[in-house]
Amino acid sequence: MSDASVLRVAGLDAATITGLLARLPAFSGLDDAERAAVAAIARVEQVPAGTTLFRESEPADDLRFLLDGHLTLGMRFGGRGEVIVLSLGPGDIVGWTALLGGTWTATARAVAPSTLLRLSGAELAALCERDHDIGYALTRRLFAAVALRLHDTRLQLLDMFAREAR
Amino acid sequence: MLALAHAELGRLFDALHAEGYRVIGPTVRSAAIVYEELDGPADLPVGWTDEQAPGRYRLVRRDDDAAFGYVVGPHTWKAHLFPPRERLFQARRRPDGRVGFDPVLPDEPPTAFLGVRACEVAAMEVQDRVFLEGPHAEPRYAARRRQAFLVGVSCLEAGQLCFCASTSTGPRVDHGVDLAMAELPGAYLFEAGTERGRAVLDRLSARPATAEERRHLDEGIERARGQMGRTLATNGLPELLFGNLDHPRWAAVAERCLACGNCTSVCPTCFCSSAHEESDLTGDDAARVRTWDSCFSLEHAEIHGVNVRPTVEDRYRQWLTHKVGSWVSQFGVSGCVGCGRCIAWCPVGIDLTEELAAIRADAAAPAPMPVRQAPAAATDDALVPRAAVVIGVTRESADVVTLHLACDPPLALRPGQFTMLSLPGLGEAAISVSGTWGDAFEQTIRDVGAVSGALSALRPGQQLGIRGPYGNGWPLDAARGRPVVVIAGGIGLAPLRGAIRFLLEHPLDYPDVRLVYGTRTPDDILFGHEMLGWASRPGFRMAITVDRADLSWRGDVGVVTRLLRREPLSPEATYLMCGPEVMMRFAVEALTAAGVPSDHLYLAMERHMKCAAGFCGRCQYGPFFVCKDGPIFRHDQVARLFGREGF
Repeated sequence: MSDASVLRVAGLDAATITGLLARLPAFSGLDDAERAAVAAIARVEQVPAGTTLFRESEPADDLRFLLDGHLTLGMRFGGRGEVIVLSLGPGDIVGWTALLGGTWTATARAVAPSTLLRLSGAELAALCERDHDIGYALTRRLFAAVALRLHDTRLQLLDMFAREAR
Repeated sequence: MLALAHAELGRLFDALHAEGYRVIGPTVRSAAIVYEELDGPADLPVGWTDEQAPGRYRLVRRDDDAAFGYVVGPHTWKAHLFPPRERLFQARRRPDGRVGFDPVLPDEPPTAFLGVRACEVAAMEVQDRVFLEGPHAEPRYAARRRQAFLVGVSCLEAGQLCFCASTSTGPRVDHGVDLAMAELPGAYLFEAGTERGRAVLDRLSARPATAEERRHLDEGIERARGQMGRTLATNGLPELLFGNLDHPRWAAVAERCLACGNCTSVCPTCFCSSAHEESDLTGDDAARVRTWDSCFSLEHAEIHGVNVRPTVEDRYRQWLTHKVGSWVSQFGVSGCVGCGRCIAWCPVGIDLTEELAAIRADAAAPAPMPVRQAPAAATDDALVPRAAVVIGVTRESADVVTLHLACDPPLALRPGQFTMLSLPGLGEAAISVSGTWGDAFEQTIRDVGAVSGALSALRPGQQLGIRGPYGNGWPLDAARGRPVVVIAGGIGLAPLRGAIRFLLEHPLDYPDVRLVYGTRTPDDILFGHEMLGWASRPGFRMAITVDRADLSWRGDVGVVTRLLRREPLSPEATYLMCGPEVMMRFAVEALTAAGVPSDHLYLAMERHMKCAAGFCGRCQYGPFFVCKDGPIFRHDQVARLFGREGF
C-alpha cells in the first residue's frame, strides 16, 4: 500500500541492518543470531516529506520502525477532514497492526524526510511461528510499546489543558 | 494580689468604664452563655453553669451565686478581634477619574474583654501567630488586639469537656492579660499583668488577699486540673498524623461527620476566611468584605470548578491534620487549646481527643514535617490593592491575553511570582507574572470566569487593582551551571516565560536549556512569536507538542510526556515544571524512572488563592500554604502528597 515515491536503500548489508535492529528497543530482547534472522526479512527505506506510508482502513501489511524523521498518524473525521492523533519520532514503532493482520487504524504520513526499517508482516509472523523464542521476546516488547501508546492516548483523552487557568 | 467581696464587683465595671472601656463579657442569652456588651455585674451569668458532653450543652442552676461558674460557651473572643464579617477596603472612583483603594480599619471604642479563660488567652496567642507573625501583619486584627483590655479569669472548676491541662494552656491565667482574676466562694482575687491593668486595679480600692485566699486559689487550680477527664497527647502529633494520612479512622469519622463546620465556627483559633465584592448600584463605591469560612465548606477548596477535597473524609482530615499537625510547622504552635468547644457543639458528638487517640493506638510510621519558616512581618496592609494601569494588551490565543501593566512605585518581581489582580465590585484572581519589561510587567490571563474574563477585556489606559507580588519564584540560583529542562503545559508556560528569558539572557550560567511544551491545539501555543527568537539562541532547544491538530500542523501531536522520551533525561539537570497537576505527575514519574533525584524537580502548585498573604487558609496543601511557601515546591518537599486526591 506504499506510495510509489518510496525509495529503497540499496546496498545495506545484513550486518548493518542487524546493527540498526540492536538500537531499537523492540529487538533488545533478542540475541545476535535471532537479530540476524530478523535482519534477513528487513529492509531500510527512505521516504521524502509528503509520502503517505499507509492509509486508514486499508489492509495492514508491513511493520515499520522509524529510524529518523517525523511521521503523523491521522484519522478521517467526516466533514472535518483528517485529524492528527499522534506524531511519531525516531525509535517509534509504525503500524503494529501489521503483526495482527486486519486493516490500518490510522493513516501514516511523513512530514519530514524519513528513514524506516521495514519488515514484511507475513514473513515476520512466519518467523515468530517458527521460532517461538523470537516470537515471545518480540511480542513482549511490542506489547510494551502498544501499552505505552495506550497510556499516552488516555492522557490525551483527559484533555488536561481544557480548564486550567493559571 | 488584691481581693474584693462578691458584692463589690460593680467597682470593676466602674473602673473599666472610668478608664474609657466598654465591657464585653459573659451573659445568658438563648439558653447559652455568650459574650456581649455588659452594663454591670447583674448582666453576668450569676448562679449558672454549663453542663457539657459530646454533642450536648445545657445551662443548669448552680447552688451558689458564682458569676464565673461556667467554662466556655459557643462564643469566642476571636469574633471581636477577627469579626465574622468585615470590610477590608473601599474602592472609589475619584474626581479625577482614577480609582482609589482605601483601607477600612477598625473604629470600635476601646473594649475590655471580661472573663477571658486561660485557654482563650492561649487561643489569642495562637491567632497572633497567624495574623501578626507571618510574612504580613493584618492591621485590622493588630489594632483590635492592641486595644483590647483583657480581664482573665482562672478556672477553679473544669468543664466536662476541658483538656487544657494536657495542652498546657490552662487552667490558671498566668500571663497575657491586663488583669488576672479568680472567683473564690467569698471573694474575687485580682492581679495586674500590665501597667494599664494596674491603673484599673488602683481604682478598685481592693484589700490585700489573705494567705488563705491565695491557698484556696492554688488548691482550686489543682482541683480543676485533676477534674479533666480528657487528655490530648501532643508529643509528635504532626509527624504522627502526616504519617497516617491513610489511617482507616479518617473514613470511620467521615461516616459520622456532617461537614457542617460547627467545630470551625466555635473553635477559638480557626481562622479560615473568604472574601467577596460588594458594590452600590452606581458602581462608584465598591468594597471587599471578608467573612469567616470553614475548611468544611465545599467552596473552600475549589479551583476553577473542581474541588480538591471533595469528600467529607478529605475535609475532616484537612481540619484535624491542620489543627493539631501542620499548624505547628506553619506557626510554631498547635492550633488546639483544649477548650472542648468542638466536642460540645458537634451535632454528632465527634471528640477529637478520641479520634487522635485511636489513630495513635494503631499508627504507621511518623512522617517528617517541614521546618517552620522564620516570620518576616511586612508592615504594609497586604489586603488592600493599589492601582495599576494597562499600558498594552497582547492577544496570545482565542482565550488568553497578556496585559502589560505599570504601577507606581514599580513592583520588584522574580520569575515565578504571582499577583492578585482585581476589578472593583467584580472580584479578584491570582495571576502569574509572565515577564517584566523595564518597570512594566506582563501578566498572562486565560478567560475562564467572570473575573478573568473582565480582566482579559481590559484596554490600554484602563485601571485595575493589584496586590503583591507574592510567592517564592523559580530556583534560578540553584540551577546555575547545570542543564535546565523546562516542562510546561498550556497556560503553565506563562509563569515560566520570565524564567526562560532569564536563562537565555545568561548563557554562561545556563549553557544548556531545553523547553518541552504541550498545549491542547496549535492555536493554543503561547508566545509563538517570541519563541522564534528563543529557538535561534545557542544552547537552547525546544520541542512543542499538541493534543490534537489538523493536517496543517507540521509539529508533534501527543502528550507532553512523550517528548521527554525523545532524549536521555540528565540526572544532573534541574527540571522546572508548570502545568496541570496530572501532567506534572506523569512527568515526575518519567523523570524518577530515569534516575533524576527528587530534589532536582520543581513544581508550580495551584490551589485556591484568596488572600495570598497567609491569612485566609484557602490555599493549603498539606502542611504548606501555596501562597507563602510556594507556589513553587521542590518535589521532595511535597512527595508525600503530590498526585494524591483529597489534599
